[in-house]
Amino acid sequence: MYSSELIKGTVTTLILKLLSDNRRMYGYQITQAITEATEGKITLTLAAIYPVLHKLKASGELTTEKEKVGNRVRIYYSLTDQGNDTAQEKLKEFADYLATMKSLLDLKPGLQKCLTI
Amino acid sequence: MPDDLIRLTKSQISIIRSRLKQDGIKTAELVEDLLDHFCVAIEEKMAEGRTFNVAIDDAFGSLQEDELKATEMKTQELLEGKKVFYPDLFQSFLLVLSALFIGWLVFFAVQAVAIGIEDLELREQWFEQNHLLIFEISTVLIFGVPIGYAIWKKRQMQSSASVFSFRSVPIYVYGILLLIATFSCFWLEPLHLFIPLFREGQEAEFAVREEFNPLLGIAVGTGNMILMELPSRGIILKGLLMTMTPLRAIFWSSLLSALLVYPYFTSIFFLSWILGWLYWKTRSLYPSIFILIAIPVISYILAQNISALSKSYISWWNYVDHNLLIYLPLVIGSLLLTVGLLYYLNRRLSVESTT
Repeated sequence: MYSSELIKGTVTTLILKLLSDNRRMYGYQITQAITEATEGKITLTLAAIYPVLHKLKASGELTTEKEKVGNRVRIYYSLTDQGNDTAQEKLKEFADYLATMKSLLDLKPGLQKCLTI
Repeated sequence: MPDDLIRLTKSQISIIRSRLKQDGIKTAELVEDLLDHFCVAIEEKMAEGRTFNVAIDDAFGSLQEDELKATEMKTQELLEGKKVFYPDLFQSFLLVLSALFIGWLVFFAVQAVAIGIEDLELREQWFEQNHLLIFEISTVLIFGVPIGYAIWKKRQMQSSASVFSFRSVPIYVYGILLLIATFSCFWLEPLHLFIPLFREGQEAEFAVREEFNPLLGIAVGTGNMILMELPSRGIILKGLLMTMTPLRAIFWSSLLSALLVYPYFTSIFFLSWILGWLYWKTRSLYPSIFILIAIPVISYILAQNISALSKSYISWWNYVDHNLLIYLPLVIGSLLLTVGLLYYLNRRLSVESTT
């Protein structure tokens, strides 16, 4: 399990990525998909996923469809065109960030020197 | 997720819904999301052989301490902004008074500069020529103070939430609002015609509007109204809704927004009840701004076609030759139709948020 501080900044990107790979998903499905894909290393709490879903909907990145399932309503989320663009941007930014972090944490000789001082 | 699992009964779902509300979930859409979330989790546990009571305890027991409260708070925070940068009632009064003070100060300061021109005729001429500009500068300052305050507070809090809520609203809402705006043209008139608190101020503004191109007058008036909406509903009502019941919040914000445009106190106070209610139901500034644009535009279109006295707005009181027997049913009828439409809109919006 990773710390919540580490996961916090990646939730939006994770959600956008999942929704760009799947036409539509509902909240529980998203949490389970992340847990399964990361073999339990990332488990999103309710407070991590639902506020972000609602924020993304309010800002026009996501749209919802309501469907009756048994005796209740299920809300499916999917990307809008704007959301698709944002997803691509976020993924690109994240890949770049990972590359930067990797080069930083691979402990280049210069950095290694700094850390030992 | 497999869809061939056990399906919970209505009474079991009702138990989960009560539990969510009891644990602090209030936002309508969040309730639906979490209800489905817990239903799936509980159904999966029941499919493994657990009873409903054990499954529901397991599902809620697996949460972190106050996780549901945190979910509600974080959702509110991301959607509405942090409570701290929206004013409470006392701060709202202070904001409105400071805004009026600054607006007046500029208005009188500019007048003082004009008075500095020694020639009386030149002074009056200068003031007449620049009246609209001075009026606009002070108006922008009056509304700009609360807007500036909220933006400054938001920056201080380093919040990512937008200061103003502009959420999309179903398209049919605008159709209903267009009808409401049309009927409001009739019943709003007697409010500023017969109960004017500052008749002189109103007459001066109408005179200015008539002097200029009517379309320019409408554009300026509508711009001012939109500018009024940002602090009135966008900041003051939003802040008050965080600290008091919707009814009280709508009342106080209506009073304060009417104070901000005091020459139209009576009509704006009553219209603000509708604008406030719309904001509370939709959490968006689009509907109230739409109404504020629609009313003068409809009035202008009607004036172009049927008013002989003014080409910028229509006075039904003049149009019916001050005949109360025609005027009164017109006003009461339009008011009743407005109330009926609001009732219908309320029902449609309530269905939207629960189905």
